[in-house]
Order: sequence, then structure tokens, then C-alpha cells
Amino acid sequence: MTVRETRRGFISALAVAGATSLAGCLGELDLQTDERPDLDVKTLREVEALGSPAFPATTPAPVSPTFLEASKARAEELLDSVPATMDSAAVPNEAVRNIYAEAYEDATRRLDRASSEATPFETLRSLRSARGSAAMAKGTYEAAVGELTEDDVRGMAGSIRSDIESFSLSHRYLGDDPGTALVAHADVEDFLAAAARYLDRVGETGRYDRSAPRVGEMVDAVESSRASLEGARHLADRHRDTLSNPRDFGDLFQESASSLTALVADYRGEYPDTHRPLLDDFDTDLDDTPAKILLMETFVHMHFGVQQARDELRAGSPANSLLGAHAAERHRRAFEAARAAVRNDEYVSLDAATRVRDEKLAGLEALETADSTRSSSALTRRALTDVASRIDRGDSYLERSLANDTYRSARNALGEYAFVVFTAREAPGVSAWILGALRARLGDDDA
Amino acid sequence: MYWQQLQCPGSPTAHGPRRADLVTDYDYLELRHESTDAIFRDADDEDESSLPAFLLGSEDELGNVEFTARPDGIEDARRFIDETNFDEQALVIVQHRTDACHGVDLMYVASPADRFVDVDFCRTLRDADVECSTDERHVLASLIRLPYALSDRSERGWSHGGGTSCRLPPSLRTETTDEEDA
Repeated sequence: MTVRETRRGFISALAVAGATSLAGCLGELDLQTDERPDLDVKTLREVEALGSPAFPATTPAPVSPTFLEASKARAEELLDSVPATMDSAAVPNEAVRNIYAEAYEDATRRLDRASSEATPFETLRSLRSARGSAAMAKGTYEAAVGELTEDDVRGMAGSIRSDIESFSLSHRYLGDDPGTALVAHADVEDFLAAAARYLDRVGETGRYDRSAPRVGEMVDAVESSRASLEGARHLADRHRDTLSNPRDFGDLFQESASSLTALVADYRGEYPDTHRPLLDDFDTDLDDTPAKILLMETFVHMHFGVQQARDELRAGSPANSLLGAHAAERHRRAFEAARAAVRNDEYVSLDAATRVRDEKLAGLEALETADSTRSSSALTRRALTDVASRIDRGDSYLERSLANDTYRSARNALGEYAFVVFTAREAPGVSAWILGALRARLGDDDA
Repeated sequence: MYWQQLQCPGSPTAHGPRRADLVTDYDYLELRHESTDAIFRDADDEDESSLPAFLLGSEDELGNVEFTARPDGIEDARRFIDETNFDEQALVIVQHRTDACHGVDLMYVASPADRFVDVDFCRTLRDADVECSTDERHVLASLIRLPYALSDRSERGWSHGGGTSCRLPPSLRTETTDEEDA
């Protein structure tokens, strides 16, 4: 036993508060009344069984099968270099052996999942995750048997950091069509930002502290960073290969992101800080109604869209800033339309299970309509991928808690489906709003 | 900020202690007892299964604490306690049960305006070469000697908490901190 030094030395330059997710806070809505109607559970189960639409993530760049094969081979190579289980003679600590076994299984599972993704872009993201997990297993094993240390891993990270900076400096926002280029470069920005973020984790405290699995986590971070950088390079290269008359949209995106971010921030400034005063502004008490969920979700996501637009602009990611402006304006318009609907007494009650079914079908219709709109673009498609996931969220309410609290499940599901209806409707128009601004500025530049 | 108001009502703050409230010049010592029995007991508490925690501000209060086991290092612990000057210092003793493959680490000690002290621990994994079973249970005792006396403060409230992650709470987290930590 020794008198130990603790973290006091580390707590020397402190600041920064973190944001808190809204997830899991819907309990705030559960102000039950005695007048909740009985809803037909069988009908609600059938609503869930209607299924959900496939709007998998895509990217304009044609991801190469050869690149995906190489990425998969890398994950397999990492995993094949270590045994599936640790020998107790080599690693006497049973908890370390258990963590390793879980990490190995997780990596195997992620590799399997990558084989069944719906699009090459989703496969690309999935393989990054598989490579990270395989590296976690390999790093944990090698550290446990004394072949790898935290210092070794920190040494690996240095060269990747300089590669990220070098790519970032040389990246040009090339494109033919501004809308397609916007989405393509947003994905490049995403992968590049992920590469830097993963690498930061090498120097942070992870789930495990000063142990073999901690070394595994660090190797996971390095490998995930490497895979992200390779992905960014590949997406940029493949997008460039598709261009017949490439132009550099860097200044266009930067200037447009700057002006549209200011605009959506101004729009946001016209509303109160929180949704509560807006809800109190109605004559009807909206607690325990689908209307509250619809209004709250659209309002909160307007706020988060503005935040994204600002943060990405500040981070030097103008394409993602413009996607944030799209989200902010999409949700602002959806909020206004929802507010008008609620003023018209829509969504203020839920008396029949068939109402949930009808709303889900309306949500599916709104997604299809938006997707098939003539002006539909990569930008709208990207927005619809986000919007469509809310169908799943609605379904999960019906799946999880229908038997325990039928009304609450139906109310939440209806609120989510309505959120899809209102936001999907706005997606093509807001894409046109963004593209119009881009093309106008492009016209100015050309003049 | 909008999201601060979106936190679930009644949920604990996600931010952690204020930097200005941190206490850094404390002394720390820990003991591992390879048994499920407590190392320290409250003389007034007959419940043998409990793992009491103590905030001690005087020799009188110390008199209520019984050593009920003799794990490795117990003499160091006695010395640590004996060297505490209650005119200028206070002593915190916290005990945890854990499996034989894990330990605890002291994350931070804070002294906010409305409390005497808050201490927070996290669960750590022991080295890979430590022979241990996750079915075996141990008791760990953490002794913290604070650099201020109970008589110095009007607030007597205190707490000890813990979690599975040793990641510092957001209020204490910076890149500099994390780099040093690693």
C-alpha cells in the first residue's frame, strides 16, 4: 500500500460545460389525466407492422467496391492477428479476459453488419466502425500480454495528425452542380472531422483507465481516425472523378454558409428561448397531447439546426454549416405549419387508434412525395434520410411500451409521425431555398 | 442556454463541480481487504453488513471508528489517521465493495460553498497480470485527509459518489486535462 497521487495534478486548467441531449426526456410529457381514452391495441400493433421506408444514407460520390474490400480486409487482418479468447495463464485478470472477449465479439458482429448495409456509403461507415472495434480487440490483447503500451499508441497518432492537417489544407470544394457538391463535400468534411475527433480520443480518458483495455481504446481511436481519413480522401477523389467541368465552390459555400447562418439565427431570434411560452400561447392545454410533441420537436430541432450551422461554420466546415441552415429552416417552417394546424384544433386530442395509423400513412406519403419532387436533389435526399428515421422512432414507441401505457405510446408515436409529415413536406422547398441562394451567388460571381 | 432547460426534471447536473471549488492539496491512502467484511465500522452501528463512511473532525469522533479487519497496509492506515491534526485537518473514510479484478480511484475532492466536502470515485480495472476472479469480492477503503478543519466551516453536509467511468465530469474536462491524464 502506498500514499497515492491522484488526479489533483491533472485538474489544473479547467473550463467548458457540455451540452445535454434531449433524448430520454419525454417523461416530462407524462402528465397523465384521468380522461385518457382507451385505444385499440390491435390496431396500434398493425400500425407498427406497416413497416418503415428505406431511406438509407447515400453520398453523391460513387464509393469504389475495391476500396470497401480493402477496408474490410484491413478489419479482418486486425482481428485475425489475435485469438478469439485470452488464455488465463497469459492474462490472469479475469475481468480483462472478459472485456477482451466482448471486444472480439463486438468486432465480429460489426464486420458481419458491414456486409449487409443497404448502400456503399453506409458500408463505408460501417467498416470504419468494424476496423475500430477490431483494433480495440487487438490493442487490448497486445497490451495485456505486454507487447504494447500507451506510449506506443501515442507514437502511432502523430503521423496521422499531420496527414489530417495536410489533407485539410489541400482539400478543394470542387464540383459541377452546387447542390450535389454541397452534399459530397459535407461528407468529406464529416469524415475529416471524425478523423480529428477520433485522434483526440487518444489523449482523453476513456471508458477504461490505465489498463490493457485502455490501450485497446487508444488503438481503436487511432484506427478509426485512420479509416476516417482514408474515407475522406476516397470520397473527395471519387467525387472529383465524376466531374466533367470542375469548379471550386469553396468561396461560394463559405460566403453562403455565412449569410444563411446569420439569417437562420435571426429567424431563431424571433422566437422565445424555450418552447414553453409558445405552448402556453394556445387556448387549449396541450400537455398530454400529440400537438405538444409535434411543436416541441420541430421547435427544438430548429434550435439545434441553428446551432449546427454556427458550430460548423466556426469549425471551417461550410458544407455542413449549410446543411445546418437547411435543418434550421426546415424545422422552422414545419413548426409554423404545425402551429397553424394546432390552432385549427388538429393534434390536440387522440381518441382512436386509427388516427395513429392515418398519421403514419401520411408520413410515408409525405416522404415519397418529397423524394419524387421534380426539384428533388441530393440535398433533399440527405434531409429525408434524417426525417425518415423518425418513422422508426414512432414505431419503437408502439413496440416498446404499448402494453404498459397504451395512450402514452400512441400519443408519442403519433407525434413522431406528425413530425415526419411536417418536416418531409418542407424538405424540397428548403432545398430550393438553399440552392437558389447558391446559384444566385454563383451568378453574381460569374457576372 | 436552451438545452440546459431541456434537462429531465430531477436529473442530477451533468456538469460536475466548479473548478474554483476543487480541493487539491489533500493526502490520500487506500486499503484493499480480500474479504467482503468492512475494514472500518461505526461503533454505534450493529449492522455488520454495512460499509459505513465517515467524515471525522475530532479525536472524539475518531473514537467511534473501529478497525474490524487487518488487511495489508493496516499499520500505514493507522499512522495516516494518527498523523491527522484535527485542529487544521479533517478526515474522510469511504469504503466500497468491488470484485477482485477492479479497484477504485479518487476522481476529485470539492468543497462547494454550501457543503463541507464532496468526494467522487470511479471504478478502475486492475493490471492484466493480477491474478483475480470476478466472482471474488473485496472491500476497499479510501482515506482522504483534507487540508481544513471541520471547525473552520459552518457547513457540515458532505457526500461521496461514484461511477464506472473515470472520465472527468464536463466542468473539469479540458484538452489539457485529458492530455495530462493520459
